[in-house]
Parts: sequence; structure tokens; C-alpha cells
Amino acid sequence: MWAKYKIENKQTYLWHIGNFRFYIKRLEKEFLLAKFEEDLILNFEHEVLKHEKTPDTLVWKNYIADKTTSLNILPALPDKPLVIKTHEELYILPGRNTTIYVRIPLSLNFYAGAETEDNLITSEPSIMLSNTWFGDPDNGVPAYSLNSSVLYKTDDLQIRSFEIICPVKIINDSSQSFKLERLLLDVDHLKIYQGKQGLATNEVKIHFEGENNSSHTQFGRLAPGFISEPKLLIKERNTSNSSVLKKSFHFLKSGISY
Amino acid sequence: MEKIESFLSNIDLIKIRNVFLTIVIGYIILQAVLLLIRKVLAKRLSLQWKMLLNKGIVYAGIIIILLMVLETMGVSLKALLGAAGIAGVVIGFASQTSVGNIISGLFLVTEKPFEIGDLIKVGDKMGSVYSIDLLSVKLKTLDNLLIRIPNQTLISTEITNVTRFPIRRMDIVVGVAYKEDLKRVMEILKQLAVENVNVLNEPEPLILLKDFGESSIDILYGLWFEKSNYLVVRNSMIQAIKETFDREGIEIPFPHRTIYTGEVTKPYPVVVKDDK
Repeated sequence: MWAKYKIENKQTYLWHIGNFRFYIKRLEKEFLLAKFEEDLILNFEHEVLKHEKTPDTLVWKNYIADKTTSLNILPALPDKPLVIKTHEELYILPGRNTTIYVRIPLSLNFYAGAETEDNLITSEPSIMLSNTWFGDPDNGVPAYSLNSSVLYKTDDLQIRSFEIICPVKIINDSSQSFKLERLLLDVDHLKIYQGKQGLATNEVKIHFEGENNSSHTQFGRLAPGFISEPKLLIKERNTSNSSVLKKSFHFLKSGISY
Repeated sequence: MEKIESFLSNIDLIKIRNVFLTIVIGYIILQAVLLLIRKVLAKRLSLQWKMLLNKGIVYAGIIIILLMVLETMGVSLKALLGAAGIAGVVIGFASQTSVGNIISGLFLVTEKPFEIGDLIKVGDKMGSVYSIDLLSVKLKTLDNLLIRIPNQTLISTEITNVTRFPIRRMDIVVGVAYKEDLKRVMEILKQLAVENVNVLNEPEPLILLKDFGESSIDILYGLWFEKSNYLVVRNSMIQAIKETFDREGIEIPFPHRTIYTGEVTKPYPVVVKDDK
């Protein structure tokens, strides 16, 4: 999947991942890209379209590039932080910690030639994520919402083609019991590793220091332990070791509803 | 010919050169000061302060250059200042409104109820703030008209800043017929908000059974969205509500009157006469 594809002039390639079919056509110096939303598929599929007709409803976008025949496709993390909500009520007692594994739907970065920033054609999500807001309406941050995408253990972990697993260790450093309601994950500090089982990121450690205090986030420098033969595929977008987002947890205040 | 000769002999070339140099050097110094201010204060000051400071420096600079030019030309500044004193009293009376506007402008810039680019509502006028000047604020309306509002008017009027905060709530009043199952209607509305990617999941949409209206039960449907997505959210949600209600057989009633015979259970007696 994450490879260099050779596309001849006037040839059309099709990739099917997550909720989308991506059609890419090359015309001399141009790459034309269109996408089509449909049912979720678990495995990645791709093929060269020979004589099949592409759907009439496709809206093509034209990208002027060099006269290159190669198209590089690499995974990427979403362009905004993610808000994670767990379905089950999760409490962490004072001084204790736990690790949750977040399933992050990946985006695809299409490059005309080598994977440099100026060759990036476009970045497209494999699954359409809902927008949400983290924090108070006057000083929060825009984010994407992830529901029910959390695992508590990695036994028999099946990493699907359109997702990246991110291990998040939550440490309760406060003197009170901590109920995880919603968690903000800053994806700019995450690296992507390719393992035998699939894609995963470095570990995120979040220290909870009380409801009224800012949490402290650290990002691991190594590949996670639950994937075998990890290979660094994508570097982090932000190289600092701690998050710029001041808050990682948000608690809903009751009584302000109208 | 004599007249021309006498005119030419009266021209003092050195004075002309000095006036020219005063204007050129003054202009260069003024531009340098403006550039320096822009560079030093670029990050510290808001756009409004920068605009006001820029105008203040330009006006002060022009007055100073003008005075220097007059002095170079041999015009007595003492006499000029004396005349300016008398003129000042006259102008002062005449420009009370302008001074009021300038002071109101300073208050507005200090209080910062809006910034350049904000969408604001003043009375029945709505537009984005185009410029904040010494005497007035200019708004560009949504249909591309320019409105000038004096600062004094703004300081004494209620202003609504529509785009101050990054997210907003859009309130749509949805009316459904009295016969409808309200629980089901509320579930459908909740689902519609979840399905629209531009409607924020949090803060959660507000669904409030608002009123027993004249022809319908009115539901207040409040959807949170990022301020730049207003049009997309409004169009897509109203379209989705209409389509879903039509598909689910939920009636959106229009105002109607039912005429009773005096008893709820009895229909109004209608007799159809055959004229043939």
C-alpha cells in the first residue's frame, strides 16, 4: 500500500480504502484526482483501470506537477487534534495508571514523485471524521471527534488497513479518582511506524494533575512495543517533546444548557 | 518684458532649493519613522492601534513639514501662531462633533469590542469591519455596500459582534404537527446533527420543545458550528430536515384554522348540492 506506483500517461489508478475510492489519472504533467464515498471496507484494494468507465458523478481536481510517472502514497495523521470519548465509564484511582489504544483513521498523502513537501498533491482522509470542539466555547480548540475507537489491550489486535493505533498512557498524579470523559490527543507530535501487524504511533503519556490544573503530556521517542519489526515511516510534524495544547482533559459543567 | 525681469529677479533660488530639500528630507524621515514603527510594533499592537498610530504620525509629520516649509520661505511663525490661536477658537467651536468622534474612537480602540474583519451588527445594519478611522468606522455589508458610522454613534449604540468567538450556535425553529410523536422527531433531529460533519459534536446540539404554536409544536434546534461554516451548515441542515421529514412522513404544518361546530367531536356540517 505505502509504495511508489507507476502511472503511465492517460492511465487511471483506483485505490479503495476506508470509506472512499480514490481515482487518479495522469495526463502528461497533470495528475487528476477524484474521490467517491461508499461503504466501509476493511482491507485495502487497488487496481489499474483498463477499459472500465469511471462514475459520471466524479468531480476531478487537476494538479499540475512534473512529467513524472511515479506517484507516492504515504499515510498521515489527521490535520486537527482528536477528541476521544470512551463508551464505558473509566475511572483511574489516585496514583494508578492505564494504557488505552486509540484507533485513528488515517489520511493519505499523495506525492507526485519523491515524498517532499513541495511534491504533495493532496492529503485526503480515508474516513470522514466529525468536527467537534474541545473546551469552552470562547477558548477551546477545533478537533475531530472519535467515538468508540478505544481498546484496552492489544491481545489479538487486528489493525485495519485504514487505521493507526496510538497507545496513550494515562497517569493519575492527583489525589482524587479520575473519570475519563473526553481526551484531547495532539497528533502533531506523533510518528508513524509500520509494523508486521499494521501502523502504530509512538506512545503518548498524559499526567492528570487535578481537574483545575493543566495536564502534562509527553511523547515517546521509540516505536511502541506491541508491533513487531517496527520501521519508522513518517516523522512527527512537531518535534518538541511536549504538547502545545494546554489541556488534555475536559469536564462538562452541568447547568449551562440553554 | 520689464515685469517678467522684475519677477525673475525677485525669485530666490536658494529659498526654492531649501523648500524642495525640506519637503524631500521631511518625506524621507516620515517614511522611515513609519517603517520603524511598523517593524517595532508589528506584533505588539492590534490592527486598529496600528492604523490610528499610522494616521497620527502621518498627520503630525505633514504639519511639521508644512511649518518648516513656511519658516524656510520666511513666513513669520509667530504671526502665524497668533492667527492660528484665533482660528483655533473658531475651528474648535465648529469641530466639536469631530473632536467627540476622535475621543470616542480612542475609547473604541481601547475597549476593543471588535477588530478589523469582525462581522458586527449595529442597529439594523450588519457588516464586516472594513476600517477603523479617527472619525468613523466603516463597515462592508454582506451585499458589498460601504457604511460609515461615526465613532460617537458607535460608542452610544449596542453592538453585537457576531464573529468574536470561534464557534457559534445556529438556532433553527422547527415546527411539527400536533399529531407527531415528539420523541421520534427529537431522535431524528439528534441523528441529523450527528450525520452532518460540519455540525460540531460538542457542545451538543440543543433540542428544546419550545412552544405550543398556533399551528405546530415548535422545537428550538440549536446547532454549534465553526464560525466560517455558517452558510454550509444552514443550507445543509434545512435541506436535510425537509428531506428527512418528508421521507419519514413527519408533517411540517403551515398556519391553518379549523372551524368547529361548537363541539370538538362533531364535524362541521357540509351539504353538497347538485345543481344539475
